[in-house]
Amino acid sequence: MHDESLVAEYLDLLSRALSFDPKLSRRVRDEVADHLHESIASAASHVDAVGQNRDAERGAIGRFGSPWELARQYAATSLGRQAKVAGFAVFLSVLCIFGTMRYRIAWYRAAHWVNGSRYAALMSVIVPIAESISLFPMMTRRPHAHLDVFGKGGSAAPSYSCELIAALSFDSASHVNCKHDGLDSSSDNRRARFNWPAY
Amino acid sequence: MLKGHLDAVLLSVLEAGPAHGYAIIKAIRLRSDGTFDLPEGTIYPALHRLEGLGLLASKWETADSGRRRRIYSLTRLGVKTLRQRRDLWARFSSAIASMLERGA
Repeated sequence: MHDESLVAEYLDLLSRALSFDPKLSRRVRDEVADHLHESIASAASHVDAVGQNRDAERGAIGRFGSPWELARQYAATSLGRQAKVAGFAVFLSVLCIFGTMRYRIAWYRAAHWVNGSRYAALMSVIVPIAESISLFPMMTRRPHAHLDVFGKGGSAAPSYSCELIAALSFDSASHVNCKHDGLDSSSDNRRARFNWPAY
Repeated sequence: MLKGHLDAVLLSVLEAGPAHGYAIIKAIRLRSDGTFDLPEGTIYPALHRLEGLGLLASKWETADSGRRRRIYSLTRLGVKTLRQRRDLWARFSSAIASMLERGA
């Protein structure tokens, strides 16, 4: 029982010495355990006294060498391999980051193009309709009072539609002027008068 | 002196067939008539390094005793490398022998 603890103690020391690489430590521990047991069994077959097993075990451990020396020999290759893996992981991460950035830029460009074309198509339909609506009162010779939103009880629908167009057309918001029978309903003017939130 | 040639020694031992660490150590002692009595543990880092280089292959097997053991064997690259090392050693040892004879 005491003999067993000698090998176990040695294996524990070896595991601790190789703790910089847990996978390697497990593998070496298993290999060394088999080696030491083989060595002890071989030595024990040459001795008659059972009590000399402990000496055989000590001899096997002594012949095997210091666990720290063994760990030192493993350290160079193991740390070199770990450095390679870490370097590759860093390289891969940087590659992924750059790849993602490039993809995002490409995605933004594509998305902007799609939105822009849809927006342009939408506006090409909306603007003529809105202009027609704006001109409709003039064409139908409706009284000015009905369109004058600054007047009393007037319908604000056409002017609101102009404001909507102005708001939708973002860049050109300040340039869209809807004239309703001489009434300037530019978006800035209207926003200022009605205290609307800026878009 | 053996340190620089340990790789070639291990490859030559495994040329006879697959073996585990303890058997390799015994073979080295036997073939060198006890001249190479190196610390037994030193062969394992060398075996692992050679395996990493692709010169050896290894696998776990269960021994008759029930314990798991790692069996090493030569790969094709290992056989080729051993042949190269043999040629190199033959030229080197011949040159050294020639130099020492002339010196004498």
